[in-house]
Amino acid sequence: MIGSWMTLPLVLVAAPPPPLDPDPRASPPAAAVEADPKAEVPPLPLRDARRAEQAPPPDVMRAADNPRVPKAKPGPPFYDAADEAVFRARFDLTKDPAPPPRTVRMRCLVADPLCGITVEVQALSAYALRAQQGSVATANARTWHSARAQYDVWVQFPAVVRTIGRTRFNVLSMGPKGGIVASDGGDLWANVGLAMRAFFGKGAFAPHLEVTGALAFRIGGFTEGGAGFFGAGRTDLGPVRSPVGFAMDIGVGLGGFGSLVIGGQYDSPLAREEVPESLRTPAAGMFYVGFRGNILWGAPAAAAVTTHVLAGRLVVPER
Amino acid sequence: MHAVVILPLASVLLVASLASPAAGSEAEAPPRTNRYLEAPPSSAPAGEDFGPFFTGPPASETSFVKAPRRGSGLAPRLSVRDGLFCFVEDAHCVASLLASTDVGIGMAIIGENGPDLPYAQLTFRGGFSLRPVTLYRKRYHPWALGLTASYSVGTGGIRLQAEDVVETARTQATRIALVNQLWLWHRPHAFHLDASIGAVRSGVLGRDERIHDLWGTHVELALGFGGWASLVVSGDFLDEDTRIVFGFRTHALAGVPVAGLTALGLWAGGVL
Repeated sequence: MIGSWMTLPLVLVAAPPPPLDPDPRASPPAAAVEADPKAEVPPLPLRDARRAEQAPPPDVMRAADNPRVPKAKPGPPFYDAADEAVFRARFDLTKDPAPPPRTVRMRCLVADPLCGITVEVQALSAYALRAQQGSVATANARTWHSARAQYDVWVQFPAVVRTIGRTRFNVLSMGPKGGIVASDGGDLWANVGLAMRAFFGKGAFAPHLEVTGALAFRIGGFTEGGAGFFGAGRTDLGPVRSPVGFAMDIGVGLGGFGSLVIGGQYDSPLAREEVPESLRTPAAGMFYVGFRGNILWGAPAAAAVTTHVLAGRLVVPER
Repeated sequence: MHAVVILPLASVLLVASLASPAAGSEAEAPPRTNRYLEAPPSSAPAGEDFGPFFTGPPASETSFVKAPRRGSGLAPRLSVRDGLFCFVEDAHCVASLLASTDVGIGMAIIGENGPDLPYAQLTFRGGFSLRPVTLYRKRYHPWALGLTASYSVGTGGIRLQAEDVVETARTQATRIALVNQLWLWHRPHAFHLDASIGAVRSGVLGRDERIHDLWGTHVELALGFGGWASLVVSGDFLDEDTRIVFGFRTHALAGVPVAGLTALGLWAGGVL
């Protein structure tokens, strides 16, 4: 046994070297060139050598033309379009493996199932039924008809996608949002929250469902003699304090352009025991029904401004 | 207030001065694009990195249909020379304009001077950011350093004096801050963490029932989503007046239309 191990190196040394594959970069031997003086065999640089490997030489017969190669027959291992159709039907695949998707609309500035991340400015105009708690002693509440205009910035990231061929379609996207809410009497709120949109289709006008939820808080309102928001105006509009409430809504629409929305908002009361009476604020809120859409196609922005103007002109708030 | 306007202008001038030598040094072949744009050494196509070793995408990789864009796939939109200077910051910006508005809610904590009350504020911020390591090594790096100035108007302060409540109509504050920014990855719209520290100057209601302009410390932590939005937690620490605010920040390109439409509605509605 030991002897056989000792002889192994000798065998290895004595063994003839294996034949090397011809190097495509090497020049052909001189004898081959002399045999065919018309052959043009320039020395190939490294980059061209790879191309030369892939491109068949012009004088080589294609396999399909070679009479010695058996012709393709129906059945394995020769498959045609009909076989592929059977295969696709068996695995519930679409007939067309990669349908050419349509072009993206408005460079993804309006949400589309073909878009991944989107940044949108949404405007809401809605009828609002507002309510405010009155005196706790008499347990009454004041309600009045009003309007709500809301401008929000949404950043949407795809969370669930559907893939067809090599194309992704946005199914469910969600992300942060924030903005300003306005109503009658100069009431202004800000909101910070999350928005979510689900597309039910792949088309440019695919139906969608939107759900938003946000913390809402007063940021402006009527302040008598407040000299404006920045202290240099002649208006009674100024910063107004409130605790954090919340707002939620659900919308159904088409293709990221616009939605019919129903929602509500609740303003928490500021009524802690140690807070002086003059600083306390009652609970309040509103239910609203309206239309929300991307401001880039104009109509939602115009509708929201009009709603805000009408609320300011027509609704007379009680002071 | 003037600093809010001046700083963006200064940032444009500064970046223009930084960009000029780069163009001049390669006079024979002036770069048409951002030469710092290249990703880490990679075999992946521009804008597509996969895994920790930045290998190329698999054959089965899928993608959204992208809107056509000029230049490199990594180049941020709304930028000059494929991200050498960006008007909306993104992962591959060498220098960026910072211009934003934000709304926030929190608490004003005044200690023994009265109850802690909710505090809401509206903020306008301007400034610029640079990538020091990117400029030095001439390749992508996730760290950016910025300088910002901001102005905010918020709900008024209070002070209890015996049985009386003394109030101010509003709280105005100006700040200057150094922004330390870390981009978490380098695809478009990448998330980033921004930690800012600086100084704030704001009015604090004193015992003499007058507003005293004081200097304080300003600290802020933000999670940014590309250059378009951030969730922000910030604090202004002044003498006997601390304001902690949680808010949403958006780029001025989106925030200014929102503010403008709101102001238009108020003005046309006869409120403003």
